[in-house]
Amino acid sequence: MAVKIIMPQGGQDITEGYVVRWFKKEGEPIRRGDVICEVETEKAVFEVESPSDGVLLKIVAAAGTKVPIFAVIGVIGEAGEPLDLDQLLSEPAAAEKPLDVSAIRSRLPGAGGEAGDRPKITGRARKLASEKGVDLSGVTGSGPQGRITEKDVLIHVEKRKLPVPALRGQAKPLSRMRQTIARRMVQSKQTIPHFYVTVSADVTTALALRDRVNREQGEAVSITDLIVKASALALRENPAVNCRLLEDTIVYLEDVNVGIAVNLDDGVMVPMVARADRLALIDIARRSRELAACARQGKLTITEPACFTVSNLGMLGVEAFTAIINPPETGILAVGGVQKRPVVQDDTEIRIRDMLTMTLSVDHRAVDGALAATFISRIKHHLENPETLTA
Amino acid sequence: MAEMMYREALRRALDEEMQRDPLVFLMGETIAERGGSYKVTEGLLKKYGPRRVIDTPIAEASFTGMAVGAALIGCRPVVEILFVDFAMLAMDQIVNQAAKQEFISGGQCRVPMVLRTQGGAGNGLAAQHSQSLEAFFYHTPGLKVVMPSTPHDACGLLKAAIRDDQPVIFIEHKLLYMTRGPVPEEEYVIPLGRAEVKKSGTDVSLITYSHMTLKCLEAAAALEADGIRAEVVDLRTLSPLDKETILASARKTGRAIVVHEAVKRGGVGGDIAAMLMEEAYDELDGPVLRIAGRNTPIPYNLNIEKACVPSVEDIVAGVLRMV
Amino acid sequence: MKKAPDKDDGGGAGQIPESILLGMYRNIYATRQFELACIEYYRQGLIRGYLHPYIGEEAVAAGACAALRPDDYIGSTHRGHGHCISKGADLRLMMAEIMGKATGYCGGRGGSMHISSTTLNHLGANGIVGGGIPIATGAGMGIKVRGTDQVVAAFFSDGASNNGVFAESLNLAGIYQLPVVYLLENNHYAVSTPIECATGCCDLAGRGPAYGVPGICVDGNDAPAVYREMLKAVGRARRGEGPTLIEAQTYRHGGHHVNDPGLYMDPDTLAEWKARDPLILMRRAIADDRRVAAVEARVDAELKAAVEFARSSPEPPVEEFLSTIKE
Repeated sequence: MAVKIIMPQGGQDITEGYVVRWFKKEGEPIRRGDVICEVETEKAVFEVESPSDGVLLKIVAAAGTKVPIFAVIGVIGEAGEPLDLDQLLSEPAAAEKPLDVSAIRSRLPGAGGEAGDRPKITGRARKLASEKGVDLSGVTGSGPQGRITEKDVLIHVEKRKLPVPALRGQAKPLSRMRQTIARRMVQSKQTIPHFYVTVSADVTTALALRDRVNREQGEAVSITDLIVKASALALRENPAVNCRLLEDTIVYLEDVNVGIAVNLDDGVMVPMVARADRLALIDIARRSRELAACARQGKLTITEPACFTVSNLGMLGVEAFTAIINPPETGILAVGGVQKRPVVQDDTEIRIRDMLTMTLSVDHRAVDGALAATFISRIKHHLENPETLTA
Repeated sequence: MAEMMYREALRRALDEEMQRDPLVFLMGETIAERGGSYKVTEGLLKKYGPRRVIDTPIAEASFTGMAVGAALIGCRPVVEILFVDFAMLAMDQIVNQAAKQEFISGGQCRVPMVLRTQGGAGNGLAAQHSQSLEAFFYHTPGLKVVMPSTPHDACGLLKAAIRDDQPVIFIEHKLLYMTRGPVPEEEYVIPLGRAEVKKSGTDVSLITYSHMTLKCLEAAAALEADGIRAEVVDLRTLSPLDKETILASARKTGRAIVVHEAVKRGGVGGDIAAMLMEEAYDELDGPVLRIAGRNTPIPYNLNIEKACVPSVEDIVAGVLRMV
Repeated sequence: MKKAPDKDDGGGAGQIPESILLGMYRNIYATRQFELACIEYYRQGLIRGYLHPYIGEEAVAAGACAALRPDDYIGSTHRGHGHCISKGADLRLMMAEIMGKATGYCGGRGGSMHISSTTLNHLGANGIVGGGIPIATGAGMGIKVRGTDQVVAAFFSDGASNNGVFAESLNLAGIYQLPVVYLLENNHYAVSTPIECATGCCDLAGRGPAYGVPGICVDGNDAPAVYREMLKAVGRARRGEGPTLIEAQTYRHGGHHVNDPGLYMDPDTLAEWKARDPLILMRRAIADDRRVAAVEARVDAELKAAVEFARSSPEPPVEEFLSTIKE
């Protein structure tokens, strides 16, 4: 059994030693305790005694060589014993592993922690924020426990500047109304499954009726008023459409309240005509004018729930369009302009009639296709049989 | 520039000062005949004789007190206590006598002595031979405390300490004696009370001293490769503290970590962290961290000994937590 | 209360029971072999830090401890392996401690310089020169306070005798008549400082009477002689007659610690002392080769088992150690 002779430890700070001389030659027999060589460290000269009986198989470090402490300097074993020097010498030296910073980083516990009620801010970040006029409530902290650091404030300051590419024009922050519209329209499109049903109504007779009413009563009934009345009647006839969806519940409203989209300078508002099914056409007209005036003055208050809105862009030359349901309502009717079109009547005649295209947008969670179709057909019916509107 | 070992640099300082001033003399255990346990005083007995290079019995309290007495009447003794742990035997003479004589005499006398000693862990010398006790001296008004990390600093600072008219506790580190470094050929003195930025950086300040300076530099090199530029401030003198250099560094980087081998609780690091908080709160981008020794005596077994003091990995991890 | 000292508590001059003689030989031989093994393992790196071999001084501990009861206490020094072995230590637990293993007497925390055992009533080796003297003195005070009859043997060196705590402790023991025997191991060197340079008066036993404590000088290499003086001193202490200072003259066979080649030691003086090797003297005192060989064989086996135990023992786990720390 080969036994290693190593350079002995000679003191705490000693890291290497010299082999001064060997007293035995390779192949010479050794007894345990024999002094086989002399080594010198910084502190002193030491005699190295053999730890066992045998033969000095190999001198690994010759006289005069310097080796690290604990390195193999010789091997003792039995005469003729095969020696695997490589194996003996390849001590897994406590190799200095180079420092792996990323490994250390990955072992760190999560910097997380609850942000808590009051955002933590370093003194330096606070000072910088106050110099730059940064509102800290808008800054996200990236430090431990969500602490806002200098870096976070600097990032925020960068973001505040106008974005690239540079746009030529005037920047205007969103008004409260626009913000509300933006928010609600996004919500509507993201949460309500819209589907659409389109009809064209022959309003020739309805327009004639309107003209007569205006002439006789001195009122200003608009096409929109006609449609509001027609929709109200249709809603009463199809109460399943006059509803609101609340989570898992459909509430069928007792009253038929119809909203009217009013175009303003920088937005749109939707005042509501309450119990429109019970109002006379003239009253609807008056009410809608009042409401529009209130809307323009910004004095609208919503009091009762509606589930349906009429939105007319016909007066602006639009043929047809689809509207976005106004949450939390269930449907909206998009009305295009009156157009003279050739229409087949009585299967044989072609006449020029006043036609109006309407598109119903409806919430498929509450109302299915058949119901929607029935509903819009009733609106068409009432418009094409306008005596029902004044009944 | 010559290159020499820390212990040779210390010897050079003693030699030069003894040459310059005949009232400088040395006292300590085995420093004369044997040249000192760490070979710092080798050759000095031969050069200056037994009147100025004196072997003492093992009697720390008394021979430290003797240094006070000799200093009071105008000599400049450099007394060696072999291990800072043994300085505990002499605490009355250090704290109650050396530190206070100038004050209580109303300035009539001075105590221009240097107490050289050594501390630190890493060699399996166990609890009574491995401590870092500078906080006891740092806390005592009337004492200066110096802890050099390189041969260059050791020589220049020891000369300054010997020339200083107040008692200086000069604490070497046992793992530094055989480290090598450049030292100017011509004579030089490094004033006490001045820290040195050993490595410049922008992202974090590592405020440290003695052997930990070397570990901080190693950590900084590893971090550099990872894109983090750490600044290493070597205090060199603990008392008086170079507040300006520490504050300037902390203000520049916004992040400070104090690194020392001594136990964290009640250590010098706490004092420095508090000072930074008081004086640079609005310039700090996070709390001051301390990376320091664990709250335990030093055990004999090498592996658990190693776990008691900050490693290079600990310093790197500390920096990564902050940036 | 002082009584007249009895003449010779350990039997007539020279009449030491054979069992005690063999016991002392066992301890001297065991200490010698243990220290040699430690040096060998130190060179191989299995032992780190400081190692202060007791080689050459074994008879002091062997002789002194032979006069103690198991429930008596000892205080020790940095050169404490001999005291520990002679007090009855388990060689396995000693070797494991010196190798820094978890199975050692102190769980690897203390090492050679801080080895201790409460079961052996060993107050602990001490890394501070003189550090153990006041502690041993205090144990003596504790014995008086609780009213029992144990005795304390305080081992320390000539180097420690020049330290302030020695003077104070001896004085205190004298005032309070403490049951402490002060065993001054004069090996003539304080680290590398010869005693002639460390004190103006080399008669160390003479320091006792200055504090009202009888001082005896004895040949520290002659275990039976140490034993006899110790027995008398222990008898006095146990009867409440107070402390004794025993100066045992002896000599190290090497330097101060394992890395000190002791170049400052005069070779002729060393040769003289080696000729009076306590091991040789003790063998002569027994004059029975067969018995001696039997003792040696038993110790060899014990030591071999101790080394195997220590080498195969685990190191104290780092995580477990860290979990005991409360920041």
